[in-house]
Amino acid sequence: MERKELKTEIISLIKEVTKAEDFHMDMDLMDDIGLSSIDLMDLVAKSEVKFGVKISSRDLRKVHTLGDLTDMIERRG
Amino acid sequence: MEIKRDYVGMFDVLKGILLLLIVLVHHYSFINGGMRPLVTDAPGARLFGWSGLSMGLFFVIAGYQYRPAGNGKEYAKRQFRQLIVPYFTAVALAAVLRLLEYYLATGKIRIQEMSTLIAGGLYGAIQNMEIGGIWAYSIQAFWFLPTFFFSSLFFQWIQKIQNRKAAVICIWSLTAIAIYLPDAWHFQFPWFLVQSCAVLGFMEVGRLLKSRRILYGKLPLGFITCALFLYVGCHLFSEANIASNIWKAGVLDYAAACGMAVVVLRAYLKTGIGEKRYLDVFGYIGMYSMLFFLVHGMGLLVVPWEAPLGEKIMQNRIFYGRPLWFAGSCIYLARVLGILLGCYGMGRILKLHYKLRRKGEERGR
Repeated sequence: MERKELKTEIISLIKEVTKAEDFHMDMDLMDDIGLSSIDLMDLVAKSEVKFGVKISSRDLRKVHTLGDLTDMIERRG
Repeated sequence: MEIKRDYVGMFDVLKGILLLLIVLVHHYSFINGGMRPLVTDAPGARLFGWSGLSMGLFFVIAGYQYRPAGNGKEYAKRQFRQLIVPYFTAVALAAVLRLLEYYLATGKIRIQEMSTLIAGGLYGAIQNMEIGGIWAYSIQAFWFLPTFFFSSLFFQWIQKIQNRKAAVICIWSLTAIAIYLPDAWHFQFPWFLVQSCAVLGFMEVGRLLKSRRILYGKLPLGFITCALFLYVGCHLFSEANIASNIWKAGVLDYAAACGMAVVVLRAYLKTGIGEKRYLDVFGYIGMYSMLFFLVHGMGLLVVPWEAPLGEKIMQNRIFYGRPLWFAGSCIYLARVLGILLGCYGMGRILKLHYKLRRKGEERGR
């Protein structure tokens, strides 16, 4: 999957979880998008199904922004 | 390695440890009264007794992760979907399982096995009680979910008050009023409303920790020492308990839990425990804390705590003649493994649900 396409797919998943409007890659998942721990669990389960990757709690430790999340899924995919 | 920047799931390991502690405290209640006659002054009862800290920390973390909601209605809907829907689903499922359990044990159907639990779930009963002639069974650990829902809404509403001083006064007044209300044994009230007000102070502490970046600075030694002494003292002599609204030492109990929460969170970031590979299992529990909690809560409702079960367990040849601590430890491990298995199973069901939904969407296109 192309990075641009991957980014669009991830944003659509986050929109399902948070119903927010505008996104850019530097946005902090916690501070700017406001993902809660339950949102995160939801997002991880949806990402695992959609992209066929396995995401552990450890993997999320270096994920701060939307861009980090895209990078991580791209590496795993 | 010290944690130097916030990230999603940064408290997962801590939440995992706290959840296991919560299971341990519930488990101790099962031993003390279930597997042996209730001894309230036993050293274990002091050690494993409730304190404001374990559950209070969850709300401090919630306050730390607080963000103003852009659309209040949308926020309430989302919280309802994430907290109240699972709450009622779990209570209803536990009620069905209790009915089935009774049928398997006696060959009879007793509708009260279900109705008492449903009534308890609707009322948020934290103690077994009679409400207008209807008997309601305690929802045990599940008080947390409606409390989390209402406290999040209250907190969002209060933070919208433009005058900061008024908002702060509102939070601490509601907290103080809730703390000084009679406990759940003496006062029949929808408990999630009392608990939701009682935890607002914890959430405010969490919000301040985040906005002032206190967790990334150095805590004064005097503060740490006071917090430790105050907490140990209150834990041993007061057994503060948010669930039943027991705060024998009033605001002092609350201050002890808040102070200790700050110390624990600072120590957590400073030591970098959340990054240790060998603690990944706690990270897993923390990441899936909602599922873990649901399975644990259902387990408490479905498996009766009554003494006959404890006696039966002690009569089993594995435990017969062995010390109580051995049986207690084995059952605790079995309980945790059971919860983990249930948690894993629910995770699989969640993913299967998304998989099927995705297939449906693809077919629809």
